Amino acid sequence: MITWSARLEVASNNEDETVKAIYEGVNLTLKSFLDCFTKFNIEAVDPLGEPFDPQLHQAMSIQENAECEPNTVIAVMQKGYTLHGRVIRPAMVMVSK
Amino acid sequence: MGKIIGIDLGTTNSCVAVLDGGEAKVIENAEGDRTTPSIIAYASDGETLVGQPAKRQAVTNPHNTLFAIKRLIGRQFKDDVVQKDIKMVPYKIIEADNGDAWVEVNGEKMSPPQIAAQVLMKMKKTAEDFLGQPVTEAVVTVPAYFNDSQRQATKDAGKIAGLDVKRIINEPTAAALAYGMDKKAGDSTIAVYDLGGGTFDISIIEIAETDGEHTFEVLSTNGDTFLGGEDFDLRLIDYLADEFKKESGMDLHNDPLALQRLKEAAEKAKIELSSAQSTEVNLPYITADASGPKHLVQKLTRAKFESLVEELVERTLGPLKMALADADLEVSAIDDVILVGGQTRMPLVQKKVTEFFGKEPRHDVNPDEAVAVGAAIQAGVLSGDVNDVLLLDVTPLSLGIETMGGVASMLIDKNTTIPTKKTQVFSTADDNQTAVTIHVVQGERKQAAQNKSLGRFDLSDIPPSPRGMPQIEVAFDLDANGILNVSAKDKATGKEQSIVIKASSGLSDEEIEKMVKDAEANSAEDKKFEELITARNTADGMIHATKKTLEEAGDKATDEEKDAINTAITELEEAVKGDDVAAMEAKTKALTDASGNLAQKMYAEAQAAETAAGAGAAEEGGSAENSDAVDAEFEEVQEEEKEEEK
Repeated sequence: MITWSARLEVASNNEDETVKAIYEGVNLTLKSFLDCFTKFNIEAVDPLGEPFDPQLHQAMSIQENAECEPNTVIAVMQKGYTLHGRVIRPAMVMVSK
Repeated sequence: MGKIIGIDLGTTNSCVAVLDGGEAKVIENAEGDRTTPSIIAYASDGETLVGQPAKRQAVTNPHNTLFAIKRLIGRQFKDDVVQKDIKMVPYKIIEADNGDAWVEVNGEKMSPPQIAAQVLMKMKKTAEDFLGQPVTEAVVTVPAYFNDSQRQATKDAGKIAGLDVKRIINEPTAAALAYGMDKKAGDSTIAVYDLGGGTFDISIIEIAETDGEHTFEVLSTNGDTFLGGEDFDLRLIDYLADEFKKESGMDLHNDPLALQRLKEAAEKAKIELSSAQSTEVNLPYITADASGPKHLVQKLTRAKFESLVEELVERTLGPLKMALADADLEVSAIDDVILVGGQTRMPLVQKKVTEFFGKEPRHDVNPDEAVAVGAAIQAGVLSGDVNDVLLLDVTPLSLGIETMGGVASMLIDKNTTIPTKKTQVFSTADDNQTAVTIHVVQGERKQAAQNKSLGRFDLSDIPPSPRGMPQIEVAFDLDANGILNVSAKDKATGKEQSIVIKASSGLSDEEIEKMVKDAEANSAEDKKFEELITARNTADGMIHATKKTLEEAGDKATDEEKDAINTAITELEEAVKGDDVAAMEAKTKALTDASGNLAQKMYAEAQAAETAAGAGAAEEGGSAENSDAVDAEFEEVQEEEKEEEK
């Protein structure tokens, strides 16, 4: 289910005018998903800008970055999820060096 | 008496089981998994990570993330396996002063037992969390081909982890126990085919029954330490990436996220194809280019997958033949074949094994867990919970001394059940020789120098006499823990010399003692660290929540209340910057008290508003939207209340 919502999220990132109606529909579907998640205590892990925490995040790659401190999440490629505080999928992130 | 746990300390994954009400039960770790990756990472802030978290941060910290430590444990730096490993791992393998292979982490030299101990500690904690009581004793499994120093090093790892390793048993023996092979009457010969995540092992075991007692003897082992389930995944990933490239012209190997998703999907597809004839790898939005998002949709049949990995399966057959040849057995002499390791779930593997042995292999025990289950059964035997099995250990390698011309004369043959005692009389090689050197060696080679030297001592003051005359009685006494006592006695004078050989792992007792202390000290530090983080998180949460409350409902508070809250916030923020747990907790409490009044007020008002909204008489008109907002506020206040109660 998490996989589906993540895919919907990517899908809803579309700005094309012609598909706006579909876009809205997708967005609403996504929203109903997220509401459902909250009901079951599933929380999204979206750690952009936070220090990298391997308990919750999976490092996908590292990148030199002068702007922020080393070991900071500079991009979230895919959100992670926790169920009752336990990781069911780690967030996939890019970490600064 | 506490429980003894069974630990399968694997190259890629480890697993812990315990006997619970007569049944061996595999225990889930804190992350909810039944197996734990054998990966240890030393983070820059001094924290040690084990298992899944260590695996997740590997990319950011490749030099200090250690995996496959089992390949190094108890080995010399010059060992071929170690040399091969050096080329394959990103961390630094160094030569210790005693010639052992060690690892350098953050500029600090560490021994493999010390590192493996981290995994054992995690397994220990997993078991303790489940049992609700401290665990101090364990049975740990090792590959059948492990020599004495590798076994001893594994024992040392246990000691460093705070575990008294009651017994080291062979993985195939443990697997055979898990399959209940000891329940059969009479003698039998079985083959254990173990295709795990990263290694392949085949062992031929003979189970002999005498008066209802079973002895397990490993007749021969063979395998490939660089072949496993991960190679199967890799083949599939490469195939899928190639197909995708043909279609879209894009190489997924250059996109780490896509590759990771593909890896997961490939593993899933591999597992599905063990039960289904075909599956579909469906990865929408796998990547994107100028023309828009790209999706990967690929049908995959079992036949296709099998054709991709057939060569890998074939590669296991060579070691099978070798193992049989070493054991001097025909295929027909094998009574049973059992499968261990997740990759043996694949029908093609089962088919090839069936073809080779001419009989159906058994795979009714979860192949990922069989070894740990067997270790737990053995642990049950040791603690007296299991009575109907008696397992006798055997020495894996022959023990003897060096005699004239550098020949190794074996006193105790390999696979002798221990404890055992053997004596043999030797003599001098030269006329008037007054001293002899007893050089104890271990191994299967005829030349003493080719075997592993365990120790040496001199027996002197032999009365001068022609060669061959003096009678020197050499006694080997090997106890149940594998500790060897060698003594030499000149029968004429009665003079005696002896040596106790505790198979050394290359670590002295003092060194182990120090590592045990280090580990204990670190666990205390780790705990402190954990407390600090918890306190800091609670404080941060409280600050955030209160600030939000002030923002939203600040107008409901009197200036005095606001001041009190703001002061408390500032003080707490100051405390959070430091490392003092007690101060943080005190300030958190102060802030909680300060904001309590406000929260109560809000609660009361929210309730009033709720009633008003319900009656539809509120000024806002009681529209659906508004009543929604009130609802939300109402819930938030309740949360505040709950936090206070904590």
